Amino acid sequence: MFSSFRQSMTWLHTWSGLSLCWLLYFMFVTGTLGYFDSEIDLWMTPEVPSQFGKGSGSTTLTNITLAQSKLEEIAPDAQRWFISPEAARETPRLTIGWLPKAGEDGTQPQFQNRILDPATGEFATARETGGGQLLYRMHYLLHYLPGRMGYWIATFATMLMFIGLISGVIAHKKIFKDFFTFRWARGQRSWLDAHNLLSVSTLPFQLMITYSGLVFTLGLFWMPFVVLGGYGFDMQRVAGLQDVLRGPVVERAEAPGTLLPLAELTQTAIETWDDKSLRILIVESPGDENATVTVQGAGVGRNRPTAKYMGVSGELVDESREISLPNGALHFALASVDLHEGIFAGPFLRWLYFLAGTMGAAMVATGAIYWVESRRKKDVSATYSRGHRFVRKMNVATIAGLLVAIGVYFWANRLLPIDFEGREQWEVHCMFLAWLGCFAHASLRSHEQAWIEQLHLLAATFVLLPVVNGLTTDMGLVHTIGRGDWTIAGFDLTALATGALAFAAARHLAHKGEEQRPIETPITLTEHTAGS
Amino acid sequence: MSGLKSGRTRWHITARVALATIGGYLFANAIALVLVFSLPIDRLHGVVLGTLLTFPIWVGAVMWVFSAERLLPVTCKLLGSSVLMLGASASLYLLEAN
Repeated sequence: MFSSFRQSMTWLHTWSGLSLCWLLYFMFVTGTLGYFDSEIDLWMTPEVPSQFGKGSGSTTLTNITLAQSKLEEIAPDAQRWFISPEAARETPRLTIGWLPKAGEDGTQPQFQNRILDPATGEFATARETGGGQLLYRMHYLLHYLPGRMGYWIATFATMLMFIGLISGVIAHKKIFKDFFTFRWARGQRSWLDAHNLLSVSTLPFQLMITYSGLVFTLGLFWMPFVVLGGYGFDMQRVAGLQDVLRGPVVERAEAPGTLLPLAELTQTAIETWDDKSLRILIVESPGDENATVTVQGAGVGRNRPTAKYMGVSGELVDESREISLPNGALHFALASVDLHEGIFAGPFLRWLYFLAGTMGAAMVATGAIYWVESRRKKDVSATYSRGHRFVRKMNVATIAGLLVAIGVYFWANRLLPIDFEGREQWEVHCMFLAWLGCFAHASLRSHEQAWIEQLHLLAATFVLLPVVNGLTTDMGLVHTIGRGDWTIAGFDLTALATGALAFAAARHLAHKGEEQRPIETPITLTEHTAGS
Repeated sequence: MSGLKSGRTRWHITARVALATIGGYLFANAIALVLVFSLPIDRLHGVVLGTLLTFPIWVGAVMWVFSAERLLPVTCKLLGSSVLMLGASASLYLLEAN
């Protein structure tokens, strides 16, 4: 399209990046928060103490028995049960989940989950909240969208991100020289340097997270021609692939059956495992004669032990399919998905994931800001095209505004009355209403003012968050640091750091505005005089 | 936009975007299908490998479309080779079935 290949790639990089950059920023931010989803869950349900690290051996089995009797009492005819015994990081509490029976007209009901008190076996009284899980799921479900529409849109955006990454690398003339170059406070040049520095230093992570994000679609048939065509459009053989991806499916018998004690099955399963830590139990069609029980360990990919039993007879159906498959491509795909989710990561690696994800969000943000800055005209009285004004407003309301909205989500968790009707949904409504407010604000104020004001708002939202937490619960910073509860304290300290950074950015912009104003006015006057 | 060759109108860019998106998708799927039917590996392995490769191939096709001098030749090459490869994989499938 252009006279040189590199120019074409620059064009492609610019437009594939810009067209959905705000959605990509949203996905980066909410997805990155997902690396701390369980920690955010703990912060958002202050009534229930963390049991992390306390579950082991016999307690785990007792808890499974407790969970089974509760599920048999409240959801005997559910489609599926989940039991997370308090063991791993991602399941710090004894949690049960169930997917209720489908409606008469075939409508899928909502998935339910509740925390159990291991002392009594009853529901722990916790406020209703979507917690960190809801924030994490947003990055591919896009929250308000029905069914699988979110997946499709998110995957398309990821594809654009992939194009942006590859074309960006090619468009670069001096990738390593740029890596060591940073020109501070030079307007658009600095934004480009920041964008390059962020992208180049985290390039392996960005490629991994983007490509593995696409690999998630393997089971979603984003590439139906390969799958359907590969099996000659024989739907029965296609279902065979689904079996491999999900394990063999056992149809319901539609006859009642009594489930074996789950604790016994679990014990049988973990006996042969080297690492005996348990991640989750999944029971399909409980109460049916053909109920199945899947016991899953805590490892990664092919190292994650899995055993599937018939729930009534205890017969082994399938064991550790990841290990038995002689399939390099499938191993690669499963490993990509595991790398994406990072469930295996310990504290250090988890923070590294968080840092790299944050830098990814910053990479998208600096790219979008650079687009605006590189098109800024020297004449301050110049008028800008509608497209340019649109991008400016979107940038402010997304880059600063989304973070404000997430802060409001946490505020709503603390301030909405405990017995508020539809509390869980309203926490999210508050978040999106706040975000809508940021869009309205950005469209009413001048570009510079909008940035300064929203960054100040962002600073206030996050600096005051630990204060609100301290006033409404007994796990304020003073207490949590005192008793060494670094999960909750870590949340508050991260909020403070975010607020402080936003404040520094806001002050920087405000000072820059004050410095520039007296100089710019006379220049404009002379230019006008010269022009007339 | 500097460097943009003259006569590159909004319609021309729309056409390139459409070719890169739809044509690139078709092209990536066609290559993957040929691999599924021609590589000496079992079907499951081939299908998964093919699917994994579609994404980078699609990106390659997008870059090809946007870096080509003129639109018509690249359209013919991209769509033509896709149709050829789809035909080849259909024949391979029929050979295999009989």
